[in-house]
Amino acid sequence: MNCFRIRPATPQDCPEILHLIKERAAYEHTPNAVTLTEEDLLQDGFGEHPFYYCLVAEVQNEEQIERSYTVGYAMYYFTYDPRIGKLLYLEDFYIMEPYQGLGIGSEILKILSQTALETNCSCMQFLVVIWNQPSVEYYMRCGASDLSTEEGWHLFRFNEETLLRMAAE
Amino acid sequence: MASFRIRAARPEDCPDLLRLIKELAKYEDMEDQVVLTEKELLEDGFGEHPFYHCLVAEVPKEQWSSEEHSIVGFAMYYFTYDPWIGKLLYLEDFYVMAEYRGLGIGSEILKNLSQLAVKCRCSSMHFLVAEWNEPSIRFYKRRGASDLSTEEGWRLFKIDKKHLLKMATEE
Repeated sequence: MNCFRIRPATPQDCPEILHLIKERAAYEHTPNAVTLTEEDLLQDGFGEHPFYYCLVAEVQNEEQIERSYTVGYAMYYFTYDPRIGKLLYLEDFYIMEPYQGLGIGSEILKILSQTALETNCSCMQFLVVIWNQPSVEYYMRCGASDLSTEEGWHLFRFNEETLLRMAAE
Repeated sequence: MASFRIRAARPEDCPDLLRLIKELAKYEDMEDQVVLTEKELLEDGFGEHPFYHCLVAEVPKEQWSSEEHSIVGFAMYYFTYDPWIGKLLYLEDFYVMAEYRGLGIGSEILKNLSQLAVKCRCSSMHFLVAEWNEPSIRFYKRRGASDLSTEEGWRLFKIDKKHLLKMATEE
């Protein structure tokens, strides 16, 4: 039986986290979209001001009990709603396919929920692509509501080119 | 001619920030949802670990509002993180009092935010707009914004406190 544990990421996890980020991108057919480096992950997550936090899911190596390997991660940070204050924002959540269905996802969500409550967050927010039916159903089963459909919110973006143009206007 | 300046918010601006947050909420028909207090705004924005940053638009005395307010607009932002490209600047709230619109304050705030984003090595700026808010949609699209919800199918989901509590204590 696979046993796993979920723990906060450490600086030493950065190579593995980047590997999983790229694996996920490859699965979505956009492997070259990942321009982030291990150095970026290290500075941005473990410097004086973290821009993100990570939980990693580890499974023990059956042959070498003392060795374990990373099979999933959840990346989150805190956002702010000027009406209600702090929110926990779940940015990314990925478990390698052979390790799905073992309860790792539920355990990660449980720990994220505890973190949100302990840090006085009013709720947890995240984005889902609407045609990703399995994910939509998974989150709805957890009690999530679709604010885009209910309240009409659309996500907009100014890309880098536009930012440079506006900065120099 | 109207003159104004855009500057970083200071702790003493919190009462004005809350006033403008409530005004914007009223415009969005969500006034009764504002439960944040001046004290929380102060702690959360000006403590050791700021959860948000703000720019404010200030006008000189001769242009103060009828209620003698000098702060006539604000933008609240923070940094988010994309695991593929790194830091992003997230524009959470952006409001200019009705009587001060059309003077270039909005454009100047956006310019300041863009400069901040570039300086902090952010790959892009993200923000939400309600689909019924046509003036805002036009304002942003004119400047080159793209609607990722329509183009890529992104929907914002929320798990509220009640369900967080349930998940936190599940066996």
